[in-house]
Amino acid sequence: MADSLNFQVNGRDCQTSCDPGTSLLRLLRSLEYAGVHRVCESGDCGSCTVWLDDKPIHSCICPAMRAEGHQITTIEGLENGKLSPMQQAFLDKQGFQCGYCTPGMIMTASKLQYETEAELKAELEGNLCRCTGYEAIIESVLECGNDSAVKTITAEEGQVGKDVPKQDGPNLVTGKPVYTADWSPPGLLHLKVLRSPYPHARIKKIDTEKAKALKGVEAIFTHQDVPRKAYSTAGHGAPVPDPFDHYLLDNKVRFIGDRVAAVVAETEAIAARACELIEVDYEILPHVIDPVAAIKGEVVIHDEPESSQIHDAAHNIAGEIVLAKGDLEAGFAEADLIIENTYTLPAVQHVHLEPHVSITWFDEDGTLVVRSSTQVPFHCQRLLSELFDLPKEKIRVYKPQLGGGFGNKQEILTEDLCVLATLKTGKPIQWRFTREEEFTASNSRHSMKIRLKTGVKKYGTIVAQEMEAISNTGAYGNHGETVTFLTGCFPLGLYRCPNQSYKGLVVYTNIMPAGAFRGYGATQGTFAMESQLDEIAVKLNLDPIKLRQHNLITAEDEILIGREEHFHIIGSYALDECIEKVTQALDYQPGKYPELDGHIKRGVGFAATMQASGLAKIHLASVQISLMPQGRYELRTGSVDVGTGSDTSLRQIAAQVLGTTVEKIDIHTADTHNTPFDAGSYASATAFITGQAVNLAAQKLRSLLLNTASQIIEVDPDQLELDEAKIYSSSGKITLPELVQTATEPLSVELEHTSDRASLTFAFLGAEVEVDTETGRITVLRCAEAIDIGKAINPRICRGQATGGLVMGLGYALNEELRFDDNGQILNSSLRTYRIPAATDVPPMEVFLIEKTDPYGPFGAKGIGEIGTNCTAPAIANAVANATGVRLRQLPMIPERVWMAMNSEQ
Amino acid sequence: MDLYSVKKYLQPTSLNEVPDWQPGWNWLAGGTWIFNESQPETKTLVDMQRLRWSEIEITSDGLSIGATCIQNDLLDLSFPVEWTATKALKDAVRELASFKLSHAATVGGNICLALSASTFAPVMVALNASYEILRPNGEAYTVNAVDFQTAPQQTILQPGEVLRRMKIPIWNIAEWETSFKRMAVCTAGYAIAIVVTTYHPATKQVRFGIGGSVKAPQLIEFDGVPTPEQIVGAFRETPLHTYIDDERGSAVYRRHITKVLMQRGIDELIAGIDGKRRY
Repeated sequence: MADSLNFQVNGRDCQTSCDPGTSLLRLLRSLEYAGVHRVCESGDCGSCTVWLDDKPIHSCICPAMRAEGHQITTIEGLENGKLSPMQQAFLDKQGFQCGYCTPGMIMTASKLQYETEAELKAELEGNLCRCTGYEAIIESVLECGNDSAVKTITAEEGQVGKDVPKQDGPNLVTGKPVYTADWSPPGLLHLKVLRSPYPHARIKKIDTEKAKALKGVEAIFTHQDVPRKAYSTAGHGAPVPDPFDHYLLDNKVRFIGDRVAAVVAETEAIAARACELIEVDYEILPHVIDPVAAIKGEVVIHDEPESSQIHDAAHNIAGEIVLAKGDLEAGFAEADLIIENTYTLPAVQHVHLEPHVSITWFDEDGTLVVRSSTQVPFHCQRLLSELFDLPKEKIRVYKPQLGGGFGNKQEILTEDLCVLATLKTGKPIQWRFTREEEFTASNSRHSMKIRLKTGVKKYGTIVAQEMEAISNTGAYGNHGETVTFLTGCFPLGLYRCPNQSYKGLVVYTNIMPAGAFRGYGATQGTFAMESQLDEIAVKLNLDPIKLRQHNLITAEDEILIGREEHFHIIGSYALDECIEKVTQALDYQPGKYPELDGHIKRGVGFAATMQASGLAKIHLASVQISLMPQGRYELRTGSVDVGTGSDTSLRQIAAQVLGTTVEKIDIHTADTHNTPFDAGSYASATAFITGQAVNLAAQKLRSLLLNTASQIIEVDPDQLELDEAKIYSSSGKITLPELVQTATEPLSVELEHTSDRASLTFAFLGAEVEVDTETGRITVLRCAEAIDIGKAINPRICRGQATGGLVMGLGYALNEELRFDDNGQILNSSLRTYRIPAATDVPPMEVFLIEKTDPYGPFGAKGIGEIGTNCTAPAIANAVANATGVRLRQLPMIPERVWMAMNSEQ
Repeated sequence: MDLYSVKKYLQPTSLNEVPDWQPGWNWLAGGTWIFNESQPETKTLVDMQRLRWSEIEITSDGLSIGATCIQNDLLDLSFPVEWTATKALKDAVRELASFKLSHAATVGGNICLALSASTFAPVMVALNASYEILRPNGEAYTVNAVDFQTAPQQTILQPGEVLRRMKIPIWNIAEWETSFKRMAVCTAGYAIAIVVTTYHPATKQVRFGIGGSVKAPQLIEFDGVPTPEQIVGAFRETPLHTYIDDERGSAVYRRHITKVLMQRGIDELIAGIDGKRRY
């Protein structure tokens, strides 16, 4: 029964009705207040904050019925002809990246009372951000009321290397309806899936009759209704490296949360109820959640004949990586010290605030349109075309503003069934993941056990290293092999050791699949490597910094593990400078005895890492850039801004080349029908590869403009200058609009670019910690990180990547872990129980962007999207060991583990 | 989140309007917990707001707090200056979660949920509170705070019974100094141990209200300031099986932390230090 309601929103009377269990969040969104963002739905993240009679509340846990007679204010109600002071402050200090938390932050911060910065951070406990690391948010709030509006950066000043504001800022601070779920065509139906309650079972029978009879149900699909075609959910370009082991809907389920049936109904509520009415007869199969047990093959997870590209299905091995160089045995024989340990890394979740969501429909000319929150629209289009036997040009995939992805949207998780439903019903369909589904039925970082054995001479020369990783890929093998490859390749490649071997086993188990996640396997390997180096330093009584410096690759080295020729290239190299900056910032003195203060112990630790910029030879970026009639430019690129700001930095590159400003360039991105191909946003590729494509295209356009102008005004092109309005020399000029008008050919260039090399970005991080030896609590006092970035196209955006990555690493180090029961059921599937760092957890961070021009990147830039995450955990583990003498080889370092470790070693 | 199964929303102005309590009914106080996870069994929400049970009464007998008192109302109130132990109530509000939740969450709701992480339960136990409970027919009876919860998310409340008010005697509120300490796996989130220490500087009496770590809140009392040995000794009477043992924390660790927080709580009160609430 719908109950009627009378209340005011933003001063306007509102008379409506809703079901009695409706949250105020849903009610407001249904009234098109799209700035109220749905994220956690449990009252923990604050993205849906509104004011109820001037008091900020979380609208997701407020009964809509409680609005009766009250005044609600949403972000849309803050503007009064101009931005509110808090909105202005967030814009000025760029207190956002993807913007999904931003309206809630602003609605909260506007009502905060605090005296100190520490108090402010504590008061922001109920507002979570996954992108920024909070630094820019805190700066914004502190800045509120001060007039610090950013000056426009002129063309004369140049655009590259400047803090050009993220161009989407005004939309984000005002809560404009820019994200996928904020718009849909009329007549929208909703999809939900029934998910498996068992970790491993065969579906003997599904009875959908009762569910179909429910009023408002449009269609129900089971494995009997879909083409049986194996594919991978991983968003990779062809040839796809992943196992083809996933089906639209299958007659077997492989983890608790696996898809069983899809329901399409008028509302999400009806679809959810219909799911409950589907009767499934399962044949429960034995299951396995431990990868070591899974390898025995007593339970076979992928026994279906249609799956392919599985390394050894009978032993549940999705993939295997073997890399080697030199003579391992001889190397170990030479060693004065051999140290061997196993490191245990947990499954963690991305927690991009915007969930997976797709909307599909047919447009007037019969094109199937897929509006989706994806990092890989073009790969998605290709997969959908293969799955449903449709020509690519009949499927248009595009992404609106993205609310974060971190790799989990390099995955085709919602588009497939949405398309199936639209094809079958002809109607517009939306499928939105709940937060619980994000935690239990999307992907995680691969949990791993890494055994690392190092042989070293007594003065610190590493002579042999053997690494073995068992990587738990869960029920499906998406990204498994490529992730696990990087686990060995980067950490081993970072050190100049002649004898190295790596074996990675990617193992199926009956838990939620693992997938792509910022750092992509290197994060796990870096923890093992950087931890063990400190263990060696302690044993040999060497300074851990000197030990690293002695063994790190240099600019002259080649990385040849498992390869005949150099693939990941050392373009620019400034790791030595990174180390210097960080050790100076933390006032590091070798051998300094840890400070003691009662039950509190202090220590410092460091870690190094490297990550490539994109995928050499594979990652294709195409761009088109044109001069338009009014003298403005138009840039078309298939690349995806996940929220980082790449739509701004790509324009900075073009503007720099064309002597203009970002404001004069209109950008169109990530739309298979309206932009040229781009592989998408992953592998830290956008600045390095798409950025270079933009750079080359802009240079080509510049030549075209100068040549065209030279013919018209009859001046040698070499003597012509281009500025933001005209082309000129001492003897003549033509304005850009005139040039377009006069030119006989379109002033437009299009090109595609792949890089033969993927330059390596290096980073070094130091952390100072305090350990409460009675409780085991680790508090990070401060961090310093230096990233060898080549060139910061937009320093503020790069800094945001660094701080955001660092804080994501902080969660990995100290808090985050998906906890499973014996059936593989995830026990902490909400943001109340799976805690990500809050503002108050973030230590002071000093970030150094070390600029040493890379020969292959645009203006010398290298990738920065992922690397910031890798070092935090090992640096903290090393600092804890420095403080307490206790070595933690398992993440996260929660207080209980630290306390147990201290008590078992004492 | 949306509660799809809810079909009915009642807003009684007195208990007489809900005489016939049905299975699938659920009291709705602040809603901050009920709406935080799916409630497939809940068909009817009985909104308590119009019962007007949100009073705070300050009398010569002590403090009485209505069940639906919004938690932040306690923060905003000026209590008599000698009522030093009201600090523990304010700490319970501050330690609930974001201030935006305590704009809506009620004191009674926090107690009735009987989550192990309840911030109010150990405070009420330490402050020697009693709860007035109404039977469906409106008849009232009283129970000691320490006897109210029987296990995590289980109380003595029978279907249709409802907590009406919490009463704290004047003896336990005036002149007692208090300390609130909690530990969670992360700095925020569900506590795995909460210790509320109250100390009477004149009589040297000490009461510890224990929550978070134990299946039901416990009270540990001393007639004088306990030595570390006495604190350790007190744990011999609380066997390990009374502690929660789950994926958030083992019983052994929870018991250890409880001990640490007790020691820190009393040390700080004796030394007159207003220490950290969170560890």
